[in-house]
Amino acid sequence: MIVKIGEWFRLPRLGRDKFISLMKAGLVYDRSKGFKAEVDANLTTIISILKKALGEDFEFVPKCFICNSSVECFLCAYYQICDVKSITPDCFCNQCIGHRTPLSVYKNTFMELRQSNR
Amino acid sequence: MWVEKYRPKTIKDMVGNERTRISFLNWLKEWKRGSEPALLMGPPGTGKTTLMHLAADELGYNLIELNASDVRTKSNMMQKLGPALSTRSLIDEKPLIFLDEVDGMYYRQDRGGIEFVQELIKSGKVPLVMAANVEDDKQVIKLIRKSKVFRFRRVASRFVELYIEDILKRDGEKLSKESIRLIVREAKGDMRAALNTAQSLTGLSTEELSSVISSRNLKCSLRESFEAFFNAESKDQAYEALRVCRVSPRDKVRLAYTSVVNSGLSEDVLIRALEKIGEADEIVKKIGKTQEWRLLRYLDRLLAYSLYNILPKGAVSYSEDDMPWDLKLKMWNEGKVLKDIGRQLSKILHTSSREAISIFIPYLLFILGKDKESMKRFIKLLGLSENALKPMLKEAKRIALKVR
Repeated sequence: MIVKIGEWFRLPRLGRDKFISLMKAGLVYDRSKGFKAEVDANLTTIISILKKALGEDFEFVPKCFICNSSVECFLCAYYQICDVKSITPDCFCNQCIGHRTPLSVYKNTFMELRQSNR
Repeated sequence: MWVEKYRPKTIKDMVGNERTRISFLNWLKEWKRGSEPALLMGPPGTGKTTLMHLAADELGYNLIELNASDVRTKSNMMQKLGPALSTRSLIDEKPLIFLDEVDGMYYRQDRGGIEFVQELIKSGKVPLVMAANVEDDKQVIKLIRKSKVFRFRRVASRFVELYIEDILKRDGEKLSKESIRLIVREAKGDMRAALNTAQSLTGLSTEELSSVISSRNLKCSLRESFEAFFNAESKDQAYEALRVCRVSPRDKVRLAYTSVVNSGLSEDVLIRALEKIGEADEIVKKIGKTQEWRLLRYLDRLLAYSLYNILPKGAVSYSEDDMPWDLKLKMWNEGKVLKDIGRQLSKILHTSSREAISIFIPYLLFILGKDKESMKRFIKLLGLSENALKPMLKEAKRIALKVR
């Protein structure tokens, strides 16, 4: 299972104890939307709990700060050294990094996000 | 320094930790008397201090900062922060207290500092922001429970790359894409480290840059470093061996000590070497106390040069501990038995236990010698358990050998 950090996703019923552990690790639950990993969630713990509980691989991928799409980490030059679990959850997707002035686009997006979070 | 020259001027200019930045700004805007303090937590070079300065500027706060280079004892903190806490100035400026690197506040150097921080948290008179690098520090764990925590993560490598490219452009410097990527890989999400490396290595070709970075990464094992140090052909070689050894200064001194005391040096050489190691130890202690960390740069050269002159080449080999732990434990247990005997004996002989141990026990053990039965009766007389027998027999044997 691959999930974007900060995006809602559904899980099967895992039992009370697992649910509590996931909440403690920073996962958020909403009855109508499902689960979401917050910015300061402990992704390492969440991944290890879910891998065991689901019996399959579970991965978080960063999302593009500009267009909100998934970032294809395996195409990135830093794939070997970037540990998704310990870096900021937002990155640049391959399309957005190819923009002529990606840094100014990034700054503008930050300001928009800030306005919407006031 | 690029880090200072190109320090972001506004919060918008920063990169990475976007949502954390916004949440922190919202917290500061909504702060009211009695609110809990903020704790900015995350690895170095992720923008905690920069964000604090920019947020204070933007929201019109008068920032009062205490960082690791200040002595943060209770009295010093009172002196610096007291006016902000007790009175309001005529201009009605809004004070904001920022304690950087709170995980570096230790009891000995910063006596009463942590208690003062706890009082500050309780009072809630002015906004209090703290920053820490590590989460598993005992004091930080206490602060986490009482604070609103804002977690900073390492900056994604693509952001670091873009930022460096932008600064190179602004500074009129050039580096190849491959060189920039090498720097970004080396920095591992630490923006400050990336900028410092980029500034120091501009002008080098990719190959040169790659070789500099890989030589920096050359992590010698402790054993290799110290063996190289003790077998160095010159003072400078000895210094270089110590310099590349990536352990704390205190551990360098400790390892020099344990290696020297375990190498069977002649008494004269050992005394001179221990004098120099003792001096280095004193310096490290003083630096820790005064928090003058910049003075640490002299330690490697001081230790290397002074010991190089004293120790014969190859006479010392690396030893990590003065003795193995199980041996230490055994000795400690045996020592405890002797102390118990001394205490009991002192009551019978009406003397101090120290005198009993140093004067009477050796004679008694020599007289009792290898006679197990007499030894057992003696132990019973003193009211000790039979466990004391083995160490006593051992001590008796040692004394007998010494006498012979």
